[in-house]
Order: sequence, then structure tokens, then C-alpha cells
Amino acid sequence: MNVHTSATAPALPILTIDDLHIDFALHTGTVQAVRGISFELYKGETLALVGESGSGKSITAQSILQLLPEPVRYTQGSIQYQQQELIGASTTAIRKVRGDRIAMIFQEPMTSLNPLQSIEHQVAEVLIEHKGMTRRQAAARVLELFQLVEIPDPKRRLKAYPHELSGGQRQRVMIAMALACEPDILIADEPTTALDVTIQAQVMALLKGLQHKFGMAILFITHDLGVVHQFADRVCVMRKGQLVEQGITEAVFSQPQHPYTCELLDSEPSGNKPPVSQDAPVILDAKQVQVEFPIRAGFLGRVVNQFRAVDGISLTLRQGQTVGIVGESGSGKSTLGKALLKLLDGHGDIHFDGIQIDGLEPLAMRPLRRKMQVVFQDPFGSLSPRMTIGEIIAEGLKVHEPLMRPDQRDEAVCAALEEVAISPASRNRYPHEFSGGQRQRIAIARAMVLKPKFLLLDEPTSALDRSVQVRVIELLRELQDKHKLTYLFISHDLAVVRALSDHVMVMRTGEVVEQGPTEEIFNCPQQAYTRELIAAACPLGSSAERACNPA
Amino acid sequence: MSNATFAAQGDSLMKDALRRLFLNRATLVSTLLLSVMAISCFFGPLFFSIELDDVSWEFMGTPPGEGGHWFGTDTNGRDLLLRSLYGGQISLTVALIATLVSLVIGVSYGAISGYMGGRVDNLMMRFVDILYSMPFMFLVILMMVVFGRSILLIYIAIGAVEWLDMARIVRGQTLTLKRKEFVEAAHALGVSDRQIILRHIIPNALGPVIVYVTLTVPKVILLESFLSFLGLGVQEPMTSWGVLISEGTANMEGAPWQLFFPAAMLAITLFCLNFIGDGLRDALDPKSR
Repeated sequence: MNVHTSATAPALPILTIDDLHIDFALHTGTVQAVRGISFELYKGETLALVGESGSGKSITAQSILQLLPEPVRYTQGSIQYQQQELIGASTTAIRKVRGDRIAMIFQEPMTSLNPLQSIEHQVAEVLIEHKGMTRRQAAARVLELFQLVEIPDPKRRLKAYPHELSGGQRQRVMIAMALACEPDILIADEPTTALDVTIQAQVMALLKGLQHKFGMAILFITHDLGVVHQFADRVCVMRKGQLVEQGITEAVFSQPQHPYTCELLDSEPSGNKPPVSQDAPVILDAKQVQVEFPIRAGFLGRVVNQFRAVDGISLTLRQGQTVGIVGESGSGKSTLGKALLKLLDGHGDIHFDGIQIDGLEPLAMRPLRRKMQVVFQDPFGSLSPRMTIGEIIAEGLKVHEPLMRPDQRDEAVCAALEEVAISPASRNRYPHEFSGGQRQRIAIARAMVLKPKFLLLDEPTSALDRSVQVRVIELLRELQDKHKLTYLFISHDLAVVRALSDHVMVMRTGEVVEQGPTEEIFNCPQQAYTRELIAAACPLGSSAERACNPA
Repeated sequence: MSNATFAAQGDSLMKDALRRLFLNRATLVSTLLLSVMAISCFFGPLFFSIELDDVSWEFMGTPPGEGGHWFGTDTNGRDLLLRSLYGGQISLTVALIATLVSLVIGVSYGAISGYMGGRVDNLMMRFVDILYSMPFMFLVILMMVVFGRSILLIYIAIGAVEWLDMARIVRGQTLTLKRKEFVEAAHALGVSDRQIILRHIIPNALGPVIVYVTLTVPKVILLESFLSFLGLGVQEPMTSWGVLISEGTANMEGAPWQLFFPAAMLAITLFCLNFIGDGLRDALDPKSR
């Protein structure tokens, strides 16, 4: 497998991983997280390590800097940085490499910075530690670095604290910190996953430019094949701790050799939804919806200003229709969804199923609740960890059909679970025993057991791996056909929105930028912002262009 | 699918928790030990032919074993075993009642305050702050003056102070929990606020609550002995572990057993409670299975 593929790279690899095995000895048994992977990294190239969650890609990355927590066992193999063995190296030797020769950036720019120190201080610390600079020297260098990573108005930002920066800016600070010592290798562990697509494109472009300037090697860990396609020179595809395929990006994407690679490439959501007829009954009709959050100040919490999260949006949903709402974080798309369901207070004329629901008392609202259900983004947060999934699904029935006998209720729960393809026998288990995709199915079952007419899907697939996503999308389609459901689908993921909805609404800062039938929006966007969004989403191209015939 | 087929495979959180609780050996042993302690404190004195304040004139301050006094006697010649058992009655009751009071008031108050938020929360927590700022001793003395001296007052006074901490802890937990999506999902299902608090907020806040309860029990027992020491708590000839320990400390050099036995009983009780608390916390968390 160690075929030297990159033509431009010099003869000696800067990092060699050979037959690496990593075990975790837990009290429940040994988990083999990485099982014999080998690859080389050359100066100046970008190698992407691709795989779904649990494939061992992050563990491999962390093992390079020996960052893995205790019960870890390196049972076999070696990790060599310029012929220096890193496995079992002394702490002092590792620390010389860490942050100096090999730097790392992480997924969460929110949590990887210390909230109590200014960003200048945090970046300077690296320089003082590794380069032995004085505070003053370091300060000058930090300013240079901030200019390098294109932080707007860097002089003024020096003393800023992490919470004063946006997500993209924080990730830039992380990159500045990683680059402080001009490392030979930059390990980027899902650096853009938490960012919006347009910001993601900017950060990736920045990384690419910096790589060009310094000639460092980038080991890029991600599950996002679109980004890999655009930025990586070579790809290693990982699955269950093993390397199933590696090669030059173009080759892997156009002629994947391993069936799993094909599966990954084809897991891009596909298909589209035909529009419903114009005379289908209207389920939800909202006019001029406005949501304002008061900005409070002072000891008594006096309202000093209003932040308008949703600013006068109107929309109509007909039976069987799926309206997709697209927008970046902070665009007000989730707020709009919640306001339509009266989960938070808003102004505006909202009619649901012919009944005016704005201004309705909570008690009067309750019978309508069963007709309008919601599925949330986070499959880990949306199920109460202390209830069995049977109890979770039955809860709505207890509210809306208090007279139902326990055995009837149990039957309904079983039926709902079967509908989402989860064995009813597992209804006495707790949420943590299920995978992300399964939990999302349970959340869907909780909504479906009440036989609603309308489902608000608030980023239901965003936390899932692509292959799992595709199955959830299929399930949603199936349910919609079977029960004539109406969906309001909120997402930042354009591919999913395109596959599921027949009408798209692009939102930005609480307002509609553009709306129309899905294909029209995607094929000829009228607004610059829509075009930017679509361009930044890095589409993979259809499988038709790909010769998917594994050897 | 019949109901009976699946009934055997799982139970409610409570049943499940109990089963898991008793799979934990340390917890099981602690529970047994604590039960033995409680039973002997409450029923042990029935098997004595002497009374709490009976003085044996020939055995004053004698070490354990002499004259049939297994734990020895105090400086007044009263049987230390009997006194320790009676003391246990008071201490265990104080612990139980004051902790229960703080648990019930604190958890519900904190959960409601945190869940309602806004102005209600502000008002409720300012009230807690006001109570915090009242000197505890002043409160107790005031109650004594108004209601007269009774042991029941001690229980109420201690409970009334201890729930403040609990309310703050639970409120903090609730603030984070109510932002969770499962609470929002319950709201979308049409579950009432009361049911959301009972079914979603409180069960998920239990972890820190139980840890705090195990810390409250020793605090309460010591607080009672402090009050008794000041003459505001139990009165002679009645006694409590706290009182016995403070007497024992005074005679530590001449009669170490007077400190050792009540202290050992208190230590065993607290030890057991800690293990039970740990076990409960794990048992109530389905993830630790």
C-alpha cells in the first residue's frame, strides 16, 4: 500500500505511519480503534484522512502528537517524524515536536480557546514557550500572524477575548496559533465542520494560501468529501480503523477502487421532489411574522433595545409540500420555525389548518400541538437521557389521549418504532444505547406517533454522517408519501434541502433573500448571496460522471 | 405484539434503578449497615433494664466492659451505650427530617424558579438571598421565643436553612436543562409545564442533588450538636451524637472511650451515607449501566 504516488513530492516523507495499531483497554473489553494503517506525508502536500464517525481518523491524528488519553495501547507499528520515532518518545522530546514542528487545529473554535485570556496572550504563549521570545517580541510577531491569517483590523483585535470574535475569526486565531512556530506539519481535525459554508470556503482558501507560502504539509481530517475534493492532493479513506483506499484525489474521486469509497461518494443526497398542485389545501399560512428579542440592561433588566431575529416573513405551506429554509447560523431560520409553532413568541398572522393560532392561550394551543410536531438537530440532546425510548415516544400520547389504555399506548409506540425501522423490542432501552442515526429515527417516531399533519424539521440531518443522512432522508420521504405530511425543512446543508424540498427560501439576517421552486433557485439563483452559498457548498458532482467499478 | 412479552425486558427508571442499586456491593453493605444502626438506635433501648438518666454510683467514668457497661460510662456514671443509642435517635431523625425538608423545598423551589425564568426567577431568588443574609442563630432564637422550646423546632429551623443551597444548585441545573432540546420537544408535544418539570427537569438534575444530599446529612448532624452545645437544642438528660462527641472531646485525655464510641457511630453512618449516595447517583443514571 505504500506506493509513492505524489509526483511533486521529494523522496523522503516528512511523516511516516507504518502499520499502526491502537487499542483502548476499557473495563468492558479492548476496543481496537485503529487496525494497521500506513501512510506517508510529504512536504508541501495536503493529505486528507476521510471517514465517517468512529472510523478512527481523529484517533490516528491525535496519536501522531501522542495526545491520546490513558488506557491507550500502541500495540504495533510506528509513527516517525523525520526518522524520529514518536511512539514511546520521552515527554520532553514530544513536547519539542508538539506545537513547534507539528501543530494541530481542532474542530471547535469555541472551546479550544481559553475564554479568560485575550487572543494575543494565547498566541504569544506559544511563541514564548517554543521560541523563547520575550513578551515584546512575541507581541510584534502575533500582530504579523494575525495579518497573515487575515483577521480584519488585527491591531484592534489583539486584546479581544474569544467571545468577541465570530466562529470563523476564532478558527483564524487557532490557525495563527498553529502557525506561530512555522511548523512542518499542520494537522487539521475537522477545522471547518462547525463553520458556515461561506466561512468554511474562506478558511480553507486561507489554509491553502498559507501552505503555499510556508510549504508545510497538511494532514486534513474530515468527513466532508466536498471539501476534500477541492483542497486535498491525496486521500486516505478510513473505515472501522482500517485504510480501505488511498491515492491521488482526482483518481479516487473519479475511479474509486473500493466499494466503501463508492458508497461514501454516492451518499451525497440525491433526487428531488415534484411540486404539489396549487389547489392542495393550505396547512400553514403565515403573514408578516416577526420575532424580536429584547436586549436587557441594568440591574432591573430594563429593555433597552429589540433585536429583530425574524423580520416580516410570510409563507404558505400546502399539504404534501416541503418548504426548505436555507441560511447560515444567525439568519433566524430556526427562530422562524419555532415562532410558527408558537414555541416562542412572535408577532404576525399565523393560521394553522384554518385556525388562527397567534395569540392563542397555551391551553387552547395544546390540542393543536399534536397536529404540528418538530424534530430537532441534535440527536443527543433531543431525547431525555433518563427516560426509556418507549416512555419518550409515549409521552405525547399521555398528553393528548389520556384515556388510552396502557396496552393500546404500548401498541401505538411499537407501531411508531416499526415505522421508523427500529425494533419495538428495544423500546425499554435508554437513548444513549443508540447511535446518532437511530436516535434521530426515535425523535421522528416521537413526532409520528401523534399522527401530525405538519412536521418542523430543524436541521434533522446536520449531526449525522452522510450515509446515515441518506437513510434518514429516505425515511422522511417515505413518511411524507404515506401520511401526506407537510414539512418545513430548516437546514444549512444545501444538498439535503435540494433533495427534499420543492420550494426553497433563502434567509439572511432575519429576512428572505430569495425564494422559489427548488430547481429554479439552484439552477439560476438571482441573488448574489444565493450564488455565493451554492458555490461554497462544494458539490461533488453526480455519480454518473464517476466510473464506480471497484476492482 | 402483546404487552406481556416485553414487560420482562425493562422497567421504569425507579425499578431499574433499585435493581442496579443493589448490584453495587458497597451500596448494599452500606444500606444493611445503616439499617442495623437505625434499628438498634430506635429499638435497642427497649432491651435495657436501666433508664437514660440512671446513674450507677459505683461506675463513674469507667472504661468499656466494667460492670456490664459495654461502652463504659460517662463522668456521671450513665451507660454510654444507651446514651449513644438515644443520641442516635435524635441525630438520625434530625438528619432525615432536615434533609427531607431541604430536598423537597429546595428541589421544587429551585426547579420552578429556574424553569419559569425572568421576573419570577428574579423574585424567587432574591427571596432566597434575603433568607441567606439572615443570621441563622438569630432565626433560631427568634423561633424559640415565639414557639417555645421543642426538638421539632430544631428540625424545622435546620431544614429551613439547608434548602437554600439546594434551591440554588437545582436552579442552576434547571437553567441549563431547560435549554436542552428534549425539553423543547416536550413543549412541542404539548406537555404541561408542571409535567415538564416533574418528568424532564428534576430527573435530569438528580446527579448533583444526590451528591449534595450526602453532604447535607453530616452538616445537619453537626449543626444540631452546635445548637445543643449552645443550649438551644436537645436538653439533658436527652442527648445526641453531637452532644456526646463534644462531651467526649472535653474528657478525651482521661476517658478516650467517651469520644470514641459516639464518634465511631457517627463516622460509620456518614460513611454508609456516602456510599449509598454514590450508588444512588450511578443507579439513577442509565448511562452508567
